[in-house]
Amino acid sequence: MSMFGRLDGWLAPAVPAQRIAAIRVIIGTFSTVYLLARFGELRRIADQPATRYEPLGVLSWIDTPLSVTTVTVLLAAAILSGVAFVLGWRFRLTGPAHAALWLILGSFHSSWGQLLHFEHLLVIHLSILGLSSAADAWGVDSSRAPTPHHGRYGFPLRLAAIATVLTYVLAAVAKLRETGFSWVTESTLRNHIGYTASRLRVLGEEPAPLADLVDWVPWLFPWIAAGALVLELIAPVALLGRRWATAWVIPIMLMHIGIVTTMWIFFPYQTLGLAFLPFFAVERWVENAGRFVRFRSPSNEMSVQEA
Amino acid sequence: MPQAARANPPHSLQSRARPFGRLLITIALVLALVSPALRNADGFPLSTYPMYAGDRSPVMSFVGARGLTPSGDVVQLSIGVQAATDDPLIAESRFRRAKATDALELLCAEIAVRAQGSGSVATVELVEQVFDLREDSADPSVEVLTSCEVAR
Repeated sequence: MSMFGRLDGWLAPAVPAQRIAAIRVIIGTFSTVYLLARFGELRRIADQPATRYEPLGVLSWIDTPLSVTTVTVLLAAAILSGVAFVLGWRFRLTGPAHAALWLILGSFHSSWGQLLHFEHLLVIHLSILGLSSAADAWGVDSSRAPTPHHGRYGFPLRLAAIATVLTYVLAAVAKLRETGFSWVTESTLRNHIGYTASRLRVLGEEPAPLADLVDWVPWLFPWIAAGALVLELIAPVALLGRRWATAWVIPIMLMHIGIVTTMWIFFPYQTLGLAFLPFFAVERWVENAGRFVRFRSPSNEMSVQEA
Repeated sequence: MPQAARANPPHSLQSRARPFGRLLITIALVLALVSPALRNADGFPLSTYPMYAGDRSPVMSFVGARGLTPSGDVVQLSIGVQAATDDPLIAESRFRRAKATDALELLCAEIAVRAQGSGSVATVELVEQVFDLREDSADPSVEVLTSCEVAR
């Protein structure tokens, strides 16, 4: 096989339609529940004085903020399209629509003087999934006939995986660019954790449970910083195969848990592991879970007892 | 020509164009994702991901609001009363902006309206608190920037 053929085989591995469908259902459910949870917050943000508005992203060409009514309508449309996204209903329309609505609402959320980095990767993944054949299986409009393994299911997942690893590499590059290796050797990370804890105290909130580590074990922080930076820089190893991905994803998720327990900064999409689903055969987890549930169902327990 | 062969000819333009198209899409995605780093410009959804990247001094100051009872006792106000949000990043940026734009009195008045439901609060003070991590990080120095009365 030619070099180009091998590259294409890696870019678009033939995988079952159920894999991308499982990821569509899980990520679509997350994005919809997230919007429901943020419904009140986004409406409150829209009610602020326009002087605080600093438009970003797809809203950067609109000088005035969206009204509360517009935000409410967009939220409702995004939630409804999210339900359709999960169900795989008219996916060629609802898939891109859900991603586009998220793009607008995410831009709006970050347009008030503080760029939030919780939603970037989710929107990129929704855009890739929304433009793919993610509803060929496990959708209300899906064909009942078995779908063969195909590169058109593997390619979007490869793109999503590339996007995931690049976000971490970029985060490492930002640290090296802004602070250099003193990000590791100095007390930068310790000071960031102390900063977050102090901010929470000022705002009447409790600091994270492990925030006091900055006072207890200050010598530990250069080691933690070095580990975090290396993990981010080597993120592309996760593209080498499932074992590499597992070996990288476990410590990176521990890093996110560390961020939560020292700073109360919760990157839900990453900390819950959803950002890493494109690396794995998720459909097998779903099928195994389904088998387990069927095995544990009352009718089965009865038949086991009868046997 | 048999139907199956017509549907999927082995060396059709389409079968070569698809791998090429996939490669182009991949290159475009990678370029788009790294473009903020090349331009050093953060945005949404393409970002430089600069979270906790900058240098951070061990001495840090924050502007926030606190309540005072009629007898002068300090009452801690919740993040919702202080900034009408549950997000500390948004709350911090709101105070920072108000200080930078000389809008502290206006912000104080907004907080005083929200503090009306906070029972015993008679006065709202906007204060700057300075923490020094090299000393006791839980014991800041406090400077009052402005204050306003809570209407009853």
